[in-house]
Amino acid sequence: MNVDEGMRRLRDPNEWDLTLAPRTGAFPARPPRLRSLAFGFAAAAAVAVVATFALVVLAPDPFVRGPVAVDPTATPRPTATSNYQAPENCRSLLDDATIASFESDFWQISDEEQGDMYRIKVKDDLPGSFVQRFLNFGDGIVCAFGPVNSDVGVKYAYGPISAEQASEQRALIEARGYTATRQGGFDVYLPSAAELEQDPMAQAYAFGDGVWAYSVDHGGGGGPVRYLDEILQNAPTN
Amino acid sequence: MTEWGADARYTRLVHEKGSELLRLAMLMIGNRHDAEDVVQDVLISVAAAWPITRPMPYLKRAVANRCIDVIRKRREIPVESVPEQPSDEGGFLLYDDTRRFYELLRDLPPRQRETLVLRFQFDLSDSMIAKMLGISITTVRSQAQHGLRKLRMSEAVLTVRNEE
Repeated sequence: MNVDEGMRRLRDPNEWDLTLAPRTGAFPARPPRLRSLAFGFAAAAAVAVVATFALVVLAPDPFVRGPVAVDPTATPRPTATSNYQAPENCRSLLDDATIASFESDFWQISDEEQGDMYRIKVKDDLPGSFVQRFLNFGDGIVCAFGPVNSDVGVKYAYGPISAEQASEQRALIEARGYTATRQGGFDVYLPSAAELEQDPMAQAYAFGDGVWAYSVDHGGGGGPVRYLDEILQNAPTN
Repeated sequence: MTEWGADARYTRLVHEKGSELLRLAMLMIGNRHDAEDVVQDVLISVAAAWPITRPMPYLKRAVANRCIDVIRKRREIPVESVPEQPSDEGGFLLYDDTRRFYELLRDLPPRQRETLVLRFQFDLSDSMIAKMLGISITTVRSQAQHGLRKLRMSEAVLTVRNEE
């Protein structure tokens, strides 16, 4: 294969399958032209069947299929990608049945410090790989949203928080040596240099009036601190 | 979730072009994980600036710039503190000959790979590449020439090996 042909093939989406995890084993030889066509049709049909199955059966969307209707008068989201819903709407979006369905239908992550988290893959209604994360602080579900990178985790999340909860959280954070600075109407806690040295993925937190935001584990490198601007820019205000 | 209808054009663009942007970023960075980060960051910034009249050229340039930032940051980190990077073995390419070419491209010196990918995959002019990389047009051309020569030599070696 010459360089022109190689470059052309790399541009050809039919040469790629981004649904595959990186493989290290033997690769199939290029099929003859006719087989390639048949392979393409077969692959497309298989993908269509699997996608339809996944969309219809495996990924129920609580917002569409759940008992809570979307309120057309709800506060609009500030940006398309923050996937933010006004905090005052968070609890009303979910009822006990929906919460129960999270527990049975979705992967539950146990996290002692932050309560139980339920991650939900959102389908066609959002671009890219987006996940909604719901946090249960014990007295009901609150919403936290954030764009993620495939399966590595949410970049940052928001949620309403009561004064009492905020006070508890802040005490915990300050006990770890964080100091608040006032930025953009939020008390922002950034990990210290020492903490970052120990844990490059240390979280950043921001507390506003009835709202908190935090950056969370992110596998892409760079650490959550780099999202602080986004947090402050997109964070809701009550 | 019907309220996303207001951004239907944006959503459609992401669905239609997201994979292309990811492929471009992967070619540039050589690592899918970082490439996904780049594309998502760019999409976030584009959403904030939406609507954009001709989004694709803007998106491609933004992805290229972001990739360059990522590559620069990698260079700034002392080697001894860089954790072992998972390397992409081209497993997302369906055919072994294309995969071999991808690996040849990936293994070029970074500046040569960047100029070739920006020129032949992002379709950017040499002057634009020079501006993005902060080098002269002459350097862009010489780096591209060196890269092409290496690819041709490697390709020839591979061909001979295959014939043997």
